[in-house]
Amino acid sequence: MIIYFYKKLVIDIVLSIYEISILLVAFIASMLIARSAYQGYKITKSPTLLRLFLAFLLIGIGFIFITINSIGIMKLFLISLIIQIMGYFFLAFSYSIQSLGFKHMVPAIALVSIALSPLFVIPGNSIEHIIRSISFVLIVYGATNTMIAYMMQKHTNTLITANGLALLALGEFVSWYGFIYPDSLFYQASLVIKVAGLITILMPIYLRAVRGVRIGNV
Amino acid sequence: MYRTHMRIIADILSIAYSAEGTNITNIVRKANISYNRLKYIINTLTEKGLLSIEEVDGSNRYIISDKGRRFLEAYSKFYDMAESFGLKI
Repeated sequence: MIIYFYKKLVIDIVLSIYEISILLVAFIASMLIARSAYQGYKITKSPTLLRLFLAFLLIGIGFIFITINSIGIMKLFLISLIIQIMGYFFLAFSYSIQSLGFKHMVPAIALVSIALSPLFVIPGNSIEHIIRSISFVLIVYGATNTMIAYMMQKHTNTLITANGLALLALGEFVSWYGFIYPDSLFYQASLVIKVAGLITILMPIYLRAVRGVRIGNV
Repeated sequence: MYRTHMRIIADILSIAYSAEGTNITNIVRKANISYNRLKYIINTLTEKGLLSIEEVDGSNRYIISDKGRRFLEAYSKFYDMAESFGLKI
């Protein structure tokens, strides 16, 4: 009995350390993207970069709030989800404002309908389910638009970012399953997927810094 | 294709990037912009110190300044960043 108790305690500690480390990596990755976007906004005064800055800043703040919640200092889980959904909104808004016209909104409307449908099937709906599903829709909208941009321009960096956003959406989807099966490892898996997504988004930004600037491209 | 105001400025600075600069006719042609609008933008760019005007053989030549070069390099860097998201700045 005592051995079982200690075994469970060790597993819990290891999972907590793992979770907090992953959350901190996610926070750092989000902040690095936000920092880059802010530097761009300061120079170019571009509203697009301001929206990207706000999006990743809010996503990063959301991660740090989840970390505080995981450590057990304060109960901030719901607030962190609300902050992150605001971040995802700014991300999706960047795309919707540039792709004016109803035909561009059709895939988004279809996705909203599909994503909202499980809310009526899952018993014991909670505010977390609703926030997760809306977050999922917003990121999928961003990922879809980035993929459309890749198909039009064929830029490798756009493809990498589209994959990063798709991973972020997948992470949100998997964490949604963590709510349905609370004792499973869905939540931990979702964190790894989200971090992979954020690092993938970060890659083109830092590759560009290493590769240097191409004036002729402007 | 729709171009943002910032993109038009970057296009103008790119055209004036060479050491000997360029004339207004060349900018109108390459930047694909009306003369009146170009005049207004060029006035703003010279006021802000991004572009300088030199008189050569009785005609004005527009040359990018050091500040303009720095702006264009930064713009190019963040243009790539926005492009990787499939966005325009």
